[in-house]
Amino acid sequence: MTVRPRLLPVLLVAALALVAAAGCGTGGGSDATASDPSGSITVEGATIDWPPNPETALVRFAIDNASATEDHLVAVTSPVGDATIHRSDVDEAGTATMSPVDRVTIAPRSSVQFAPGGLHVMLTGITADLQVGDEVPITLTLEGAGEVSFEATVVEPGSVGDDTADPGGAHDHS
Amino acid sequence: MTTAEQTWSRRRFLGAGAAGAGLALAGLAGCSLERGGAPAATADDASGFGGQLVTPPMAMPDVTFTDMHGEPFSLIDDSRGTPTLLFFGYTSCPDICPVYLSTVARAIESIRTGPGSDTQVLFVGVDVARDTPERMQTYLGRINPTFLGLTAEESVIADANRQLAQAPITIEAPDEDGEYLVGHGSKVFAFTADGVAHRFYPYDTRQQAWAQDLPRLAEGEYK
Repeated sequence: MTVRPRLLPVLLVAALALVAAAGCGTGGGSDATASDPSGSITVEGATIDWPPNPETALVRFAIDNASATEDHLVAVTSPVGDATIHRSDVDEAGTATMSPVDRVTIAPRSSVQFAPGGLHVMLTGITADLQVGDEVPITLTLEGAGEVSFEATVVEPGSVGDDTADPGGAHDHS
Repeated sequence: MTTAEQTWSRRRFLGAGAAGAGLALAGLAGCSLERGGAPAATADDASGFGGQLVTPPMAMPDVTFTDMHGEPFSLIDDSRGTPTLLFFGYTSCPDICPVYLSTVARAIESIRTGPGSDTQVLFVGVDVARDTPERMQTYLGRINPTFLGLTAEESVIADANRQLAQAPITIEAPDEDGEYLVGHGSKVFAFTADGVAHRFYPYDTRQQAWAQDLPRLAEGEYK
């Protein structure tokens, strides 16, 4: 159960995240944004709900494409575990399923939310003991923009109906 | 039917694995139940309750699980007199399950004392290979220590699932890393203290709706 070297809980950032979380209920998310070198792709509000199963977690974020051409997210990696993209669905019979997603299109001048109940990045095989405030490195690979790296903050799990259920929604970075 | 056959070739339906030849039959039985015999959920009325009314009401499934502490747990006998929420999920589920469990945990905590604060949240771990008692203790303990995890042989879990007219639980074939996905009901069945479910709720019911409904369900009101 050793924390891998690249998972560095930066104390200052962790403290800031806690303050942010206290200020807006649970899980305010990282105020940091990350972009590719060209600036066309931006990731905002990256958080991980402190997972009830220590080995499996879900990353929430919003990915924004400011350019005039569509781009495609094709891979996600993280040093803390195996990262995969899935989509959750509930069918008419009420059965909940998840399906792997190979490629996510981000249309020009639009954004895509990764959040519970829909598209999400799942981390499996986590061996580090994630704690609230930890910063988990995540790297997205886009066909056009290349790699975008950011850190997702581990937060207390929110609940449906609080003001942070929509990742990035409560934070205006404009 | 081609699609269904392809699906079946890579899926295992819970409760049918050991029986071998029973696989298709169990799947079919579940499907026909879902199409023909499932109780209708009427669209919400002006009652102010969340979720949906179950008509006709459903009895607590007549099955006995083993709880995560190793004790037998009869759904009927051991939940009698206690308002109970029943949900089928799995501990490797990163999305639907923790969303529901965390939300209802915060709602019950917000009620603090009085009716509804003693609601028993039951979590049936349908992925028996991974949902061990120890795993459920960790999983639920990190959400709310009063939540109770239940396990049983797959046939028993499938039986309980069927008695609630839910579609069959599916276990996908593992990938190269041994990870696999599970299809399970997303409904939360709300039983009043008399062991009857009059309402069910979607997994993403809002915390405020739970906080409003649980005290009334605990008083036996449901519409």
